[in-house]
Amino acid sequence: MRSHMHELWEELDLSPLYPEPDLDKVMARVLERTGEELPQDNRKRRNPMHKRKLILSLAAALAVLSGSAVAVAGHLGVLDAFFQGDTSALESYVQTQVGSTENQDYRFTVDSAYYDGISVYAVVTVEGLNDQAVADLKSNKVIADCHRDFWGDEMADDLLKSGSAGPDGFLSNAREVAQERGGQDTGSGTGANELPAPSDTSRSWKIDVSFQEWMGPLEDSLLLWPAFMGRDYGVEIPLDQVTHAIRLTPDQEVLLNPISGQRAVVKEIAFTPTQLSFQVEMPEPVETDSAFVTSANWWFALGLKDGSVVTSSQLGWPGNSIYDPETGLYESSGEFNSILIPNVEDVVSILIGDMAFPANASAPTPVDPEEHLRPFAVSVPSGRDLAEGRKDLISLRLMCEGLGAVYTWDQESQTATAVFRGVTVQIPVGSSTIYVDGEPVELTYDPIEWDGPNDDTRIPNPAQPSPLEEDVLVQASPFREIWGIECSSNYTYDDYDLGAIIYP
Amino acid sequence: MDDRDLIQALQADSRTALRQAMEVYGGYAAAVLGRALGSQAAKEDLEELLSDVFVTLWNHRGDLSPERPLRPWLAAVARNRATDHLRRRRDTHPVPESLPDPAPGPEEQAERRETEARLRALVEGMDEPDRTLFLRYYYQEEPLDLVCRELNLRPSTARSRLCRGRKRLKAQLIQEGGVLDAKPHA
Repeated sequence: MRSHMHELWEELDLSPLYPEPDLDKVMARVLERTGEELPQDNRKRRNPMHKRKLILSLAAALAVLSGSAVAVAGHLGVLDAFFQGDTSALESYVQTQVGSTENQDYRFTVDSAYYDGISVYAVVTVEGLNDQAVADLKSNKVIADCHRDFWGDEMADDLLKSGSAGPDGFLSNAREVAQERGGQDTGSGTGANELPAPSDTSRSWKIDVSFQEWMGPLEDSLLLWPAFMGRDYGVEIPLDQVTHAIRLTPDQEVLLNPISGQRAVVKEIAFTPTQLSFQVEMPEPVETDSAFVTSANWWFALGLKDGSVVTSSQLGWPGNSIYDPETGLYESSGEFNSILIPNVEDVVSILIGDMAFPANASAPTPVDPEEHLRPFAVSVPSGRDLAEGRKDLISLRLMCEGLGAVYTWDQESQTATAVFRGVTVQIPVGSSTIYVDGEPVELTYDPIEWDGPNDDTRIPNPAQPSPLEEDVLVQASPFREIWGIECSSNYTYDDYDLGAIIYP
Repeated sequence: MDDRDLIQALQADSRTALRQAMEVYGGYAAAVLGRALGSQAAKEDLEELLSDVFVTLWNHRGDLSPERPLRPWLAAVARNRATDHLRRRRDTHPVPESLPDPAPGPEEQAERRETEARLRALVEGMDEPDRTLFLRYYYQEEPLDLVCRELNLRPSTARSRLCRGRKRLKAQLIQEGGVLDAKPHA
């Protein structure tokens, strides 16, 4: 274990304010010193105080909600809040008016919830029940203050300014539920993003809680509560109903990452209309200096009954991955932005690495590399010296070859034309205006020095001449929207030669 | 496991929980001690005091409330240990005037503290999520996977943000007027 702060000082060429301790040595010392038995009277147990709470029955909650502005139409349902695309097949799995609790100041309601076997998604509302409570809710003071003890004044003051729910605005018992099932440590925090306020006295959020692996239907419920109200005011979300899913346990070795050569054993795959997760074991992790390359470990594609293929890029899958030191497995999971396959029965195979795993659990088969489904790296061919800030341009021709796109070049007009997934793009050398299905689109330059999400500085980014024949240099990022691919550019690292990784 | 689970496991005499506490909070407690001791800190003393903090945690685990976070408790113990150490050191080891003091001189200490204050101000001025990422990972010494989970960031994205942020900080520190060369601590 190393001190993170000392790493930062080293990077910034600052002398440390204090010496760096050997944390492994300290741990050994502590374990040695605590090896002796302790007197019995040191082992006291404390029972937490039980707060008085008022839990409304569902019928009573309905009576209250129907009379209050919280039940106003226009309150986003959970599927609409989280997903785009056709969610109609999932409606029957949505729970509405799940439950409500209140204390003297606030009423907390879980308006709707949906569980896909991996994550719980919910839309919740908090209503202030008196003037002061409403003021504290609307100003975010009640959320900021509940962060103060643990996170400190800086975090709390920042939440007052931003209005965000913060890392601990809403808590759940997901960890306990997971550990009860032998699952991994998920954390107690939730992802909470604010929705339009239902009324002048309330606020609403969409919240997702992930177990990060397939849990399936559970007898336990998920308990969810606002941190400022406390666990005793939690609302239970039943987890006994789950959408149809494909779950495979192949134990199959694959070439996971074609760029780094990383091999892995796929242990489990779970696919639902809203999420995919898979677990792999990497007995021999490939050493690489660049997280940019290891991100190509996490991708997949779905083979459908009609012969078509949908990739993780098209589904808007974030591909988060976490290593569980207890199991030695890497878990990659994430919900889709777009519901493109509402019926799991339409999926005949799941492609991970260089293997296709049939949905009926029959033997996996190799993926044909000519299908152009796997991530690949594209760089600027050597011999082209690019200005600082333009280092993330790549060869369009090489990108199209990797994608299997149709590519043509007009020498007279110095224009490249490429067609992929039915969308035609024309890119003249030296122009920042390209044509997507005949419509002009401006290419703008994304500066390396970026001051955060509020910085919308853009510079015209004309396509550059390439050292390769019949080619033009472009940024990969505009093609996310144009062709539904995903890409990551390497401009954040010193080694600019790596260009971009393209995910079809 | 979260603090509630950790405390309950400690109270159930779990040494795995003690290891977990050190993995999660060891860096943070070291930072509290280090900042309290400042230039008076020798590596061996810091390590011994750090082990004292976690031995104290183990010895007093029965007094902890699972409902309260562990971080402030550890910080308080660490600061108290640092104060006691400074008091003892002053009483028993006065620096002879005739011998050179290996610790950085007052002017150098002041410059270093000023640079640190500038660094902190630059980090506080970052936009989210970089600000929270930097504060939690560096200043609070939290594990990256925990920070990523709670900020809903991919680890690769977080590392990328840390990398860009560090470059930006370095450039800003230089632009603002000089950065001390790294020197090994006495």
